[in-house]
Amino acid sequence: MITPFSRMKAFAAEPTVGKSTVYPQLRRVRNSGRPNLARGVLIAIVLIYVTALIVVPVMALFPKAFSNGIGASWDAITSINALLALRLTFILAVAAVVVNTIFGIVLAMVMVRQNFWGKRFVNGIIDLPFVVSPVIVGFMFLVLFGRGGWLAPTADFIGIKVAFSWPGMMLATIFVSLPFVCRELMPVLKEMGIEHEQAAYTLGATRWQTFWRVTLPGVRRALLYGITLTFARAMGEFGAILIVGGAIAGKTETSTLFIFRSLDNRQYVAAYSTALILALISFVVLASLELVKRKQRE
Amino acid sequence: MSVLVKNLVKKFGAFGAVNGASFEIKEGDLAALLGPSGAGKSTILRVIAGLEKPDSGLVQLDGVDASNLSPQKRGVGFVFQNYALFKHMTIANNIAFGLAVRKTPKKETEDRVKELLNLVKLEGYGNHYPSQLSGGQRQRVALARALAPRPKVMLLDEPFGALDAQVRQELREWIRRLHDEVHVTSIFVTHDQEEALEISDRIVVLNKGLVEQIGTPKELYDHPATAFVASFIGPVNMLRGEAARGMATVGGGMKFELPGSGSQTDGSVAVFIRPYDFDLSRSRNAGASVQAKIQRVMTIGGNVKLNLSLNDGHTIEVQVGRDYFETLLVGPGDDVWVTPKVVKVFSQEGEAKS
Repeated sequence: MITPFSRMKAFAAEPTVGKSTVYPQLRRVRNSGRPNLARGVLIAIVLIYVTALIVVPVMALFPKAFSNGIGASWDAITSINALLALRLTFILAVAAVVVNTIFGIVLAMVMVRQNFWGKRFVNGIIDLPFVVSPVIVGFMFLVLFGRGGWLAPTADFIGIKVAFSWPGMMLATIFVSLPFVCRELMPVLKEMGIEHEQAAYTLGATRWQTFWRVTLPGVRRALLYGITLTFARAMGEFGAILIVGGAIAGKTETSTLFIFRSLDNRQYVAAYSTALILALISFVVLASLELVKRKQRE
Repeated sequence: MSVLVKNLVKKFGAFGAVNGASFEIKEGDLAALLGPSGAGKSTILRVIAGLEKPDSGLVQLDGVDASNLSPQKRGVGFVFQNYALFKHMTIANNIAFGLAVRKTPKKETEDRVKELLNLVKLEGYGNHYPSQLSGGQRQRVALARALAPRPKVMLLDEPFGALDAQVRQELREWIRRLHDEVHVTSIFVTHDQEEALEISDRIVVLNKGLVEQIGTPKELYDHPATAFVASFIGPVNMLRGEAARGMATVGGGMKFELPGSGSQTDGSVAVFIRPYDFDLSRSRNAGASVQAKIQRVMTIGGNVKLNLSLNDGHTIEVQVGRDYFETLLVGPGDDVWVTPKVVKVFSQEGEAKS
């Protein structure tokens, strides 16, 4: 179950980052001496593709969002439920970024540098969140922590309510955005090798100093990219948190869930305005990533 | 700081990279670990640096066992074959790294970086990034970075391996001068005998994870201890054959009277003769003379290099002075007589016999 709007946002977030980050050399291809016609056709295809799939849908949001005037839009997005939803979206996304960044770095370092029994199994399982439908992810957590679930007694003992509550939504969000940082880092770490770290050791740096001054800065681009994708994915999540959280307005409702409910209630201005806000946030995240990259290139 | 390596053994799986190597490098020397690829040179260097743990054996730095010291504590500077510069740091920050991690005061760090940039002739490159430098410049940055924390030993892994021939030659001479200036004990790994002969005080020749010989370039050149050293260092003709009663018969019937004869035991032998250790004449003039046919004549400056075929089909290389060669009035296709002046004979087990 994905609303047209969350899908739009996902498109806005992913392909643009992908092309500009990983292939900075695209710029140079322009003068590769291809026949002019073929080049023109290729460029036209790219432009039409990007316009049709990204620019048009995002643009379509504007008139709809402001159809009752800016005041109405402002009221809609500053309503208490809209703000609470936005806040929850943020909390979940930040939690997913923090957890998956730390865990993703550790995971990537272990997968690249260590050999252990079952490594291939772990390597396969990391991608699980990519292939399992978010709805099923939400359901999994519900089964685990819901009434009679395996982990329900443990959660009760600790005193945390997981099912139909934000901790469950947080778990689900972390789960669906888990692979990004790790998968971005692994090839870069592999390519970097261990020589730089060994050089740091011979220069007197401790392991901790080496990690912060050599390893991490060496992979910072991939890390930044992974974090951006994690954030975007977490912000756009819908199915998993709908199932595990139950979409209770003002409590377990995120912005995507808020948009869905607004559409259901024919509150189109609220739906479109919030969608626009989410798209805007994605855009800001992308733009800042681009800015940081450009600064590094100097 | 002196470096002592004793009975070092290091295996990678079934492959024995180092199989009981022992040698000592004296304080202040510039020493080469020389050998073909797979001889264990780099592994030994990495063990000395503490980057690799030996299976058995000992590394002493200044007479103190370093086995349990981490790379951080050994006071060694290591220059990697591919430099391993930190790409995200400027040249100045690369050089300052070893000082920064020790929390050296800022002023002192700056002065030291400036001093090293001068030393490696890269003044004005402090704010560049490694990607903006040429291979030779990167190599010098790697050197400066390793020198910055004032290591007591410098270890260089194939320091010229990734450079083109001309830069390599320049850097080689420059490193020798630098060593005379800085005077820190240095060990470098190379598979290029010319490189080792040219700049080192001492050479450790390695083969199959064992030390073949240790000595000054002159000692190794003039008195190779094993057949391997004789064949590896300098141009040489090797002829296999049998020794009996002071005569070596090599290459199917060709006889050499062995100089200093009497000390040899009989058996199969390998005879080594340097190209310039032959006399050349148009007629037979001594017992050891053999007849050979001139195949090719190459004039190189004041010398003439000849490829001669012996009557058993073996080819030898002979070098004589150009002026002398021209008095012989011979050319390709003509027969000449060659007499070896200096011969090294080794039993097939590889020990020196004369």
